[in-house]
Amino acid sequence: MMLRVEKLSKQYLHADGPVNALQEITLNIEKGEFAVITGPSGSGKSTLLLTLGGLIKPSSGDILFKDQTIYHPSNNGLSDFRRLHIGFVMQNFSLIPYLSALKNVMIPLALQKTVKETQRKRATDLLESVGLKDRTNHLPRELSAGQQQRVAIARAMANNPSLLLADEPTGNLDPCLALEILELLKAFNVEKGITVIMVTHSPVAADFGTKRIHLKGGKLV
Amino acid sequence: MSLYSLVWHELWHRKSQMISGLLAITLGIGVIVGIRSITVVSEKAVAVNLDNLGANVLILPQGASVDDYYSADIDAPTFPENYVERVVTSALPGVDNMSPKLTRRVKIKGQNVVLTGILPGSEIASKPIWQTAGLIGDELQVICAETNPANSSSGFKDERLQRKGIDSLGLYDCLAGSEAAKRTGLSEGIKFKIKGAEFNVAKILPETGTVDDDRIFAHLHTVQKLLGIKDQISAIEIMGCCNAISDGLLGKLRNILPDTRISTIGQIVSTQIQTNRLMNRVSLIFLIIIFFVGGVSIGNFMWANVNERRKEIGILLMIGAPKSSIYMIFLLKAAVLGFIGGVAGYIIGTITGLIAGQYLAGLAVRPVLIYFFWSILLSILISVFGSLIPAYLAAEIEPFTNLQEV
Repeated sequence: MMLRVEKLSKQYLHADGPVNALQEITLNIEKGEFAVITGPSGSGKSTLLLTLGGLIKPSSGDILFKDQTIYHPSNNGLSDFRRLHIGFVMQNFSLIPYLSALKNVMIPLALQKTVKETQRKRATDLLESVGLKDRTNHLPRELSAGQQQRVAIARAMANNPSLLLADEPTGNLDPCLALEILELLKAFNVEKGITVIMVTHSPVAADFGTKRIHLKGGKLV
Repeated sequence: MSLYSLVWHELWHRKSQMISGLLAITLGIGVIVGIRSITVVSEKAVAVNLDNLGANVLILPQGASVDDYYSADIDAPTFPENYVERVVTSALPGVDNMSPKLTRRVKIKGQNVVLTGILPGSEIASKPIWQTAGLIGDELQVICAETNPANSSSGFKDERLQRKGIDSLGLYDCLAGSEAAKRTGLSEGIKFKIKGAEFNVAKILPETGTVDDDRIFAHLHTVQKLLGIKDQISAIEIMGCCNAISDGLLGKLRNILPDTRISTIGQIVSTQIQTNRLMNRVSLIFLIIIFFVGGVSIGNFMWANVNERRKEIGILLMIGAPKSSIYMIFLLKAAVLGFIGGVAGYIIGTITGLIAGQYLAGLAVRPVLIYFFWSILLSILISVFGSLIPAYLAAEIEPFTNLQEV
């Protein structure tokens, strides 16, 4: 079992009163699965994804990664979890604007204190695998939206993660580019055996999944 | 890729912000370096001037005036010679040399001349111009003025003369001032009589432009015996280290010799040393101001930078950067800024000091290398100190901030 979610709830406090973003979600994700989280806006899809990635702490419940809770008492426990096991791909690409494509991909390796030459080789290989071999020294602003998302995927793969979390990865792309990105994610899932959990609105994107998680009003449907 | 290169890329990406952030600290360091560079040269100039003048502290009997001393009147008061021992045994720091003297007006070949009893070794040591005239061989090392040109240029010229000056100025040898020698027709090797005692002219002294030119110098104990004033002296001339004088040497001497009158070369000591003190105080005030203003300025810049980079910080946290890394990124950035500010401040301050020193004070200011290291250290300290809170707040940013600001 890659991931086990037990009675996960998240409540936000607003001036108008508490908002239950997630209510007692329980689910399992197996190793090598391509899970797709769908649901209408405000149904808690992104909150669930970010909670699974240790970016948001749940109000109650637990998340077990390889049978171990990810919520260690210290914040460093969560950052270690993200650094060692998780790759993130976000709708806004989340690239550092003043670093080249190559250096953006090298950051996760630098955080793991990998030697510089290994960082460079691994980042170059990853950029080649996403079709950006000739764009390694380009800044994000010099790349198209599709290319930026490819860099983000290469960066997410840099630490060789067990779990790839993607939040609307095709949300800012035209349908043609969106398809390329989805095929790339699928390729990593199939060829490298990486477990993928993807949030999407798109029915086309949802069809890439092997498992569908549908949320409505913060509850599993 | 490392934290350092991440910091460097970010700084380079925001060059104009970096320059504005550095402005206060650079100018502050520059002002301190400029003032201190001028002050150091000014202090050295005072030291050199004082040492070139030779003795700079004069101890006279209580009732005597400086005029009495120079006129060498027959009734001029005296005090015991053992006062010298009192000062020696007190081991006061900053007393480089003491020259006890007994001066009286006498007749030589019908001419009025001031006869001065001296202890030859200490007298020569106190007179740089005599040293350069070849009366001694080894360089005289003056503690407070290593750069004294008189010292550095003094060279041995005649070994026989040196021995004669220091070791062999016999009880009836004398040194004649240039003017006194001219008036009385004395020349080296000539024998003449003072109050019935025969003296040999060992050396005609070079012209100094001082009262010494019109004096005849003989051994103190001979002069005491000749004048019938046993164990008494008219004055003690002291070569006081200029820093020791400003640190209250005169007061300490007054405590040791309460029944004497102690004066110094007032103009130089009181004006130049006071100016130097003022400069030191101004640089201290600037140091305090720059510590707070520079710290606040850097802190403000960092705080703005943290707010501007919330998204980047969120990205780094998202991909697994621990809080400590975020903290380090900002402190490292502060250290880099401090380093650049320190170097720039030193260069600006030194150039300002060179120009201002030359045109405002007529001093040839030179770069002070030690201030280069102090500038960097101080600037890094201020910068890191001012960045502690912004760095802490950056580390506390939530990792999903990156996504909230889409």
